[in-house]
Amino acid sequence: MKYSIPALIFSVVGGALGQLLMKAGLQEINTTSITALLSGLRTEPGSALILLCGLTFYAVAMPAWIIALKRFELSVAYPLISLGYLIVYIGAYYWPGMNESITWQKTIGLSLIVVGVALASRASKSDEWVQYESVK
Amino acid sequence: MLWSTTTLLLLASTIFCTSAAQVFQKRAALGLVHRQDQQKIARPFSKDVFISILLLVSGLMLWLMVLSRIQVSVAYPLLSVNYVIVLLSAKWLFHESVPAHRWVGAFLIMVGISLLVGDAG
Repeated sequence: MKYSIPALIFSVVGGALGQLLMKAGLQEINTTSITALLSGLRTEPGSALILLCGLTFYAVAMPAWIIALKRFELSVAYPLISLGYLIVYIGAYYWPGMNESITWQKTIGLSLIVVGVALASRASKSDEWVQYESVK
Repeated sequence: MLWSTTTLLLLASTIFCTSAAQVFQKRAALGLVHRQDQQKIARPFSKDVFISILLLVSGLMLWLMVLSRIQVSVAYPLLSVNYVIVLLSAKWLFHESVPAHRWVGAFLIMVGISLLVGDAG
């Protein structure tokens, strides 16, 4: 419980950073098979290292998420996770060499997804956990 | 933006793996509750947990191939199709009652996704 707030922040920010790092590591490689991916990474050790950093963030964000969920309900945690999409959106625009676009269509689409996730995960009185909490 | 059949197929497979992993985790969790009711020791590494881990690892491999092909700012939010699939699974596989506002949320997610996919940026 003590670390639930930093854990939640890490699972949002660290998770988003992990995605950006993974993309940064894979930037030079366009492939469909695992073997081609691996051989591409072997010839580009710098990219492989960045990808590994991304995977590490991803791997740490998962247990952080579990710790965060000990305190925060999904109706709070899920909308915050979807804010990670916005971090990735802005990050991919500014990341050196990534140059991903910021457009009205993407901004509106992302906003709808964030609102949609908040609605889809909003608690309701019929939820089992609410009944469980009230029994306790 | 590169929307080849392969990219779409890879993306669909990623989403299938991560959604199915959620379903198997829920199955595993239901199994644990059942065992506790019968006063038996819960096994955290059941077949369901194993399958869900396998699906997550496959999903990650596929995801890396998706990322190597399309913009991360488009690909990442597309994973929120998961919420919609999990909602449908809750309804049809686990027979949970799903309140109306969740369906509205799922609808908004799908509209947002179609805008992202449609953006040629």
